[in-house]
Amino acid sequence: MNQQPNVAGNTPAKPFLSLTRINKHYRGAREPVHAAKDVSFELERGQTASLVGASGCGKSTVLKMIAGLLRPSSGEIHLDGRRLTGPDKGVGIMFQQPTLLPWRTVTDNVLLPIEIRQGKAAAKLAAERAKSLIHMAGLTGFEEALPGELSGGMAQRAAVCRMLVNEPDLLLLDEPFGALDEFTREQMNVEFQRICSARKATAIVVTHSIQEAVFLSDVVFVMSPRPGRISKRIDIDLPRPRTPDMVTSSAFNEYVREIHHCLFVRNSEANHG
Amino acid sequence: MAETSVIPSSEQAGMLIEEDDAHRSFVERTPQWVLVLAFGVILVTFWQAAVDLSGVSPLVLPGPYEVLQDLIFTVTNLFSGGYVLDATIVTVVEVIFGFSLACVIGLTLGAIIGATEIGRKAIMPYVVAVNTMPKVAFAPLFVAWFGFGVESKIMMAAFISFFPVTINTAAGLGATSGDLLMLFRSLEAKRWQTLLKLQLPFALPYIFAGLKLAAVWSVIGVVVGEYMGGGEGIGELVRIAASQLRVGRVFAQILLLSMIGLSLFSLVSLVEAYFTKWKQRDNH
Repeated sequence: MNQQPNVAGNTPAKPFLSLTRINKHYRGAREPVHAAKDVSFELERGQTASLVGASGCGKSTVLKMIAGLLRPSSGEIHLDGRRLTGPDKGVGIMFQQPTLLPWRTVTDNVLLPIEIRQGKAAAKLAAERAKSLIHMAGLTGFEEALPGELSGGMAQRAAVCRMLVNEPDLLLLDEPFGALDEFTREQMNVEFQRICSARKATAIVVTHSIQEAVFLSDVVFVMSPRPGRISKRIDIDLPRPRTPDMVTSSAFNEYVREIHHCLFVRNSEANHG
Repeated sequence: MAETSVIPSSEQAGMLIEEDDAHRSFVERTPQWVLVLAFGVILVTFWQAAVDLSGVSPLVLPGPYEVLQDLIFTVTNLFSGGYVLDATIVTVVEVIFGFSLACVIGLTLGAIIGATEIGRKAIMPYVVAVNTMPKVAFAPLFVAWFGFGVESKIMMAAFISFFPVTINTAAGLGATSGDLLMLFRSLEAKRWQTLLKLQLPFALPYIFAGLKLAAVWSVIGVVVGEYMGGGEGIGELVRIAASQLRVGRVFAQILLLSMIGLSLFSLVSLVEAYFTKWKQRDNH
């Protein structure tokens, strides 16, 4: 399987993804909000990173800046040697809600990115690719179903397929499984990291579940609010593929404890300050 | 998928409750058409009783039987090609043109307001302001501007009924969820792609709600126009019948008008059902 060591010795000098001193100020109701302060990190190809933190710590803001949906007030983002200044073909995104178009079948929803970027004819040609993605996601038989006929977990699987159909270099997931029940969520996590490993995908996951972050990631960035910044980087040195029973292992829980401690201590400091 | 079979959905749970017949009340167990019919019989009985007991002159308030006679006369005249048919054709033409004009104006204006910043900020306040005016009061002006022919009625109908189309179109185009707009933005969708592939389909239920209102209101507009500006439509027949104190005739002609409104309303509903097929599959 794809054993993914953290920053191995044979990587080129330039990282695959780099954020350099990213800042983001919002105009708040009373005073400007410093949503992200000097956020810098690098990611190698094939790595999965998680951003964890309490609500309002700026983790979604950082993700949206990478996605090109928000413009950083300062700082630069580079992906695979080019500077990102807006939405990019090489970046796929999914949200907490499946955001499927309810009048389109699963297949047509999966093909939406191709239809938007290259037109209907290109989407038709890619139908086979969509089918195989749908099959891989365990939605065989639901190709012509409408989103309203799917369960929450199935709809989110379709959203994963849609994110992958353009074969993006970088996957961005904003609390992707947060709206699902606990069982479905675990199952989705297992499958998602299987997909990532199989495609050697690079991914950034925003989550407020510490377990989820540890389970999915090679590296976890703990963020703290006001101003939103990365307060700690924790490399997760667990073998891949990750399996559900790993969640109960002592190594896994040591990471969970470390991150929990980070978040908890920071929070209580902030509350006293 | 396994996850669908494990936990029953809310619809399945609902069906289980409905199958439990013993706990359902009389109203829940009776078919709706029986209830509708029964209530109608009660209403007519009260009407007859009111006429009989109050001693009001049938010139002022005719009983159900007199009205039925007038209705039969009106319908017979309509289908035998009499003057009621001529008047109906005039009114129907006015309603169709008025409604169509309202659709064109309403959809265009609504799209400008819903899809552009300038429309939302600069034009919307005027639409809201004009909407608060009692539009029926403009009828004499429309007669003065467009004359006693069909034009003034068409304009009046369009004037009254383009508001719900405008406002619903604008609201519908603005109702798309922020996440979906973000998804389209991340796909670098062009403005027209976002409008046609995302916002418009989402707006359709709103737009059709507006069109259904417009269907009914355009009949109101035509009748107001005919009351004010005469002409040869049903509104004029109503005016004449009322001036002759043939109240039963008035009722019959009003029913005829409501049939026109209902037909147009049903037609719009049919078109809506065609365009929102996915919704029916959605809620099965």
